[in-house]
Amino acid sequence: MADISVTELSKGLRDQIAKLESNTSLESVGVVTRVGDGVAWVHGLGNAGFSEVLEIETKARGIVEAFALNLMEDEIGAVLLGSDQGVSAGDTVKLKGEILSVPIGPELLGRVVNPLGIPLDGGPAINAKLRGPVERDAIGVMGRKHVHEPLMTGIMAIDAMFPIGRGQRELIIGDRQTGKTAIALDTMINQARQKTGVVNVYVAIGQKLSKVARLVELLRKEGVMDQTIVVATGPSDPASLLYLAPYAGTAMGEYFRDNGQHALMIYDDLTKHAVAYRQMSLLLRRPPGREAFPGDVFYLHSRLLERSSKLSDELGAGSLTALPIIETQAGDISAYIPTNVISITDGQIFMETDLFYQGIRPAISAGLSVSRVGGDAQTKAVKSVSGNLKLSLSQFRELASFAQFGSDLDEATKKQIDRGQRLTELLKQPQYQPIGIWEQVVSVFAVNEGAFDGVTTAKVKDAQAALLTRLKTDHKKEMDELNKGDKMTEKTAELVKKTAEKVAKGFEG
Amino acid sequence: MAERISRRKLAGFVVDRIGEGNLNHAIEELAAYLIDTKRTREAGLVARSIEDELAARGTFIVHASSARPINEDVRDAIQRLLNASKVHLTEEVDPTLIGGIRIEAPGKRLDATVKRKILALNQVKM
Repeated sequence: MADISVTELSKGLRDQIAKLESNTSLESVGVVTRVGDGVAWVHGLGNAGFSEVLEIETKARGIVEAFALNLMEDEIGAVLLGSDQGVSAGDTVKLKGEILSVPIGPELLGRVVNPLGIPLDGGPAINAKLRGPVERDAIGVMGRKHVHEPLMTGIMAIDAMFPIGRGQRELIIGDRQTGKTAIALDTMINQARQKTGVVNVYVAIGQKLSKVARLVELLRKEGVMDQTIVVATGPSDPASLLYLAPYAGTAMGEYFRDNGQHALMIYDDLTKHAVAYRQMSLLLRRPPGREAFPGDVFYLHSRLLERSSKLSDELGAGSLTALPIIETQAGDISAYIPTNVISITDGQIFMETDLFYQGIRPAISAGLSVSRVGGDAQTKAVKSVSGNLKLSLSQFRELASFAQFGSDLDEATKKQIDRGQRLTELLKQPQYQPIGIWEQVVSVFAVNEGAFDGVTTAKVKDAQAALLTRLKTDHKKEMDELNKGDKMTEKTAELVKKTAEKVAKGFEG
Repeated sequence: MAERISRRKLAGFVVDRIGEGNLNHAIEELAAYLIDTKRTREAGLVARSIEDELAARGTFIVHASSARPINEDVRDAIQRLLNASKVHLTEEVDPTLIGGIRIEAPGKRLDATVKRKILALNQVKM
């Protein structure tokens, strides 16, 4: 047992008594008039602010916290932070005098917490020195800088065609089971493998807890958890917690951004977030609009995603990148929430079910995906080899539908289809295997230069693997240089081309 | 459909009538209105709103609990604390409070009892 100092004990006791003495003053109180479905209606407290925390003094559970969302003439609608059991009409309510905040700081790294910062991983309580407000204004115009540094996902199809920059908001959108979370996961893993120093904040909104547990286990196995915070909410959690999760996660990520570091936010997924907000709004009796969502559902996500930014040099040049995820129904990207989030973000990666079941994974649609600001952030090395990759792949997928009919095709079209098939094969990538810059550059370069033209489509991946192994063993110095991201020198290009041609000979069929 | 009148406005109307010396008449009118608009369930909340409105105009309906009977000095102190022009005070002696006083006014509360301090100290994690 630890030694107990009587002096310290008596000092602590005196401090607490002094604090209690100073707390005695006339305080504003209200009363719960009715409660149900996670919402308490409060009479009084006319001076409550929007999103201010209320403390309900219950007989059964002590203090239960809620936050004020509906400030009306006669009453306040407050959403309970937890179960409504134990809260009853007649309970006294008082203002806490602060808006909702969560613990922030490096103490959270490696932890799984709920949106209030309470550990869910069975570990010790989080003794964070700082707390950050859950709702916070986004950085203004002058505090920002254009997105110019790459955030490598390690997924060749993304880094080559839809590059993401630090501070960008890139939406991952697609039907269920098309590999949306897998892309987010690979991006997190790549940050650890490439030692980028980017902190990951994964926000699970209403995700099955078994899925979250699996994900955390995987992150631990891959050694990513040390630089990751997981904010988890399950389907059985109250809608209030699901609503708060992305804001709480962002507050945690902002700490790193504001301290000159780089953080990556993953919101999995904002469709469930909008549904949780719709539930809360309907229970608060706000007028329903399209698809029964409240009128401010756009603002719900725009104010969240606007907090992701690249800061100016004066503010430390930190960044907060966001990868929000949206689940569509039958590939309908013109539904209400998808169109909202598409218009808010700086581009989207669209996952196609058809591609997924054809075995083209990651099932990224070249035609519907776009990155609006990432071009400036793309590494020179990747940019130099992937210039027309997106265009030729889109054209190939158009032409491929003609090719299925076996009609006579001219030589140029045949060549385009042939190259397209090889590119498609090349861009297939197994899960949890993100690759570095040099591997991406030499792979795309080899196909573009026609080094793999003689390789049968089925063996393109084998040829790529052989090429990477050969280059890594025989030309490690050049590849390490290439991995820095600078454009490939002519000498290196020649070296790669020759090696690729040599390797390809073994796979010609 | 007639516009729903808020409880705050109803309370304002009733307090105006009370100010004119028509207390009974005001209550009758209010009761009739609540029955007519099928809002009788709100009677308790309307009463609270009337208390709030009276407090906003300087007249407080206060309940004071203390371990021992309170004297005139304390009554004056309560009036000063609430910045009230008039206080309707109901008093209760509750020995379980050990010492100090608890004041409950519309929308306001002061708990300066020894019992609360002990309970609060008990909840603090040292």
